[in-house]
Amino acid sequence: MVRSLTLGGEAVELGALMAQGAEALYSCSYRGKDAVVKERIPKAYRHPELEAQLTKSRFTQEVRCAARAQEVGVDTPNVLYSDPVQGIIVMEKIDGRPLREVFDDAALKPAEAIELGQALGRAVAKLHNANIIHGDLTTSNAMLRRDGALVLLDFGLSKVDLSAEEKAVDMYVLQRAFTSTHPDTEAVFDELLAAYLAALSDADREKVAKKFPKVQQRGRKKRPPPDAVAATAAASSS
Amino acid sequence: MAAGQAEAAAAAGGARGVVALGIEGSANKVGVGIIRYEGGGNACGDGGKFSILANPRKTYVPPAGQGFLPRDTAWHHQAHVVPLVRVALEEAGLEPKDISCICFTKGPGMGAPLSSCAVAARTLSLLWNVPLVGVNHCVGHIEMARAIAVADNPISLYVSGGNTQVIAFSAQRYQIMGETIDLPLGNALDRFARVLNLSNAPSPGYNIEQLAKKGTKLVPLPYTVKGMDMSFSGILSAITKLAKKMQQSEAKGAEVEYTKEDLAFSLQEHVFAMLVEVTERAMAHCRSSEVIIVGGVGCNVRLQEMMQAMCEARGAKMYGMDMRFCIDNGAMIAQAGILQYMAGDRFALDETVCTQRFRTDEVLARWRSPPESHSV
Repeated sequence: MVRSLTLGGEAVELGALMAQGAEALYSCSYRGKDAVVKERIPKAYRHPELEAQLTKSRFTQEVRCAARAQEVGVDTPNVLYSDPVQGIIVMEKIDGRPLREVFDDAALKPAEAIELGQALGRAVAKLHNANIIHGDLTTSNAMLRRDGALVLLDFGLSKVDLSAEEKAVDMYVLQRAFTSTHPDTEAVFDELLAAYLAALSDADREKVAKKFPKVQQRGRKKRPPPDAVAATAAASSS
Repeated sequence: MAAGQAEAAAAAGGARGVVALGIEGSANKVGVGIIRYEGGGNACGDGGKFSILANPRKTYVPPAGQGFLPRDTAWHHQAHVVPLVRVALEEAGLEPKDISCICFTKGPGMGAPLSSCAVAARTLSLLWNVPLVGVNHCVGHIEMARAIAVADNPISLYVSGGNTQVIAFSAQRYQIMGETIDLPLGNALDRFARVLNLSNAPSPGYNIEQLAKKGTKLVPLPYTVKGMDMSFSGILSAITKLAKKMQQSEAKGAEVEYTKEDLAFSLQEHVFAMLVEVTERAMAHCRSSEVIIVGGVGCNVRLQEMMQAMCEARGAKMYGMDMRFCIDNGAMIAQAGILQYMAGDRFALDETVCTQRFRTDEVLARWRSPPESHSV
């Protein structure tokens, strides 16, 4: 079943469904360019009033934050067209691989993994220095262009916020995405965090560094790290 | 703690199978369950035939407007655990000598009720000379769900009075992808029920659900998703304030802007949408197309409907609800415990201390073979 949308007065035929998270991604061709259509699917499970409120605020934030990110030198897909009424964004198709796949690739050397982690850390620091909170940092939301440049994707949960709190939470989301998805990459995340903090503005560095361990301790039933956890792990694997 | 491979294999392959007795008492329910595995040759439980032989339970129900206090709950469990063991053995038609291992909830949960049941487990272990296996309560829910629903590798939304977590299996552990950073959702619902002075029977959440069915107006409340985590304390404060305002207006005979039904409805619509959103994002990141809801709040039909709608929209499968993995019981502890036992886990007496803080991801799930796409 081929669907087509009228975008900016032009009929755009939707190709394959590439992914579906908070929104659906379709490949397409837009004004002769390989592009991706990102369509915010109304969530049938949400009450329509709540849905309308969330969709409106998130759409505006997404376009705004992605544009702002580019202004401060973070590579993000170029937005070719956006339609707040239909909740549709057409953007450049990135020729490359998701970072998630890159990290899972057995051919990736440890030194390369660390370099990639550092590059990601520096990119996030650039965002945070401009007070952009990504909101959903994972290795699925970053890509490596064929030429080696790192691209950040999906600003659908982004917002502008000055607080160290939100910046630390952003990093915590990334850390958890790392440890749960790429279990052997703890060292990579440490390097990532170090590169991030080094690239963070002087005003924020200390505040975020102080906040981060507090955010890490926030889930329920956590034990004081790391002795207790290490002991349990040792006990259950002996 | 681990026994030798040979012993584990022998334990799994015995002629009469392996029989585990599980004791649960981490919250207001005390339960004793007996599970048998037959023909489990690989010491993993995979392919083995499992049956629940008995699963009796008692629930401590405090008066309306009150929560279950640790001391009263512990007394309740102490009074019932031994009769429950007797009933379970009788129902199963077994004698103590038929039991291969005694599984008990090591945590997380309320300290006094946990300890009461652990004491019972240790006593039986010494009396019958049967090994002990300490079980993580959350893992108990997940393993029971996998066994009952025959779900191989689902994303689990675990939402109850004591826990709210979105869980995926990776690197031989149940990893917490997202969770509450303050109140467990079930606790927030319980507390809201107390504000409205709803009955605790059969459960406060059930009574909120019934009220919510009659609500029509969506009252705006905070929607707090922070990264992959959720916060419910602000929502509880907001709705408590609204409820008190409503009660004051009612007392004065003045007209109310919204009814308690509207409040219950609005609360459910907001918090369940948050749960489903985080679950969907976890599914997208893990590329998972299966989901299961475990824990007491999983009984809520509205939550099931919302999760089902999300799954339909993305072509995913949601497994149906079942009391045996949603409501705390002894069999689920026996189920996780028997898998641990067959994989060789043994607990010396001094390792059977309960802990209120015992995270799902601390357990090395040695009994599980890695899923086909190993990385989550």
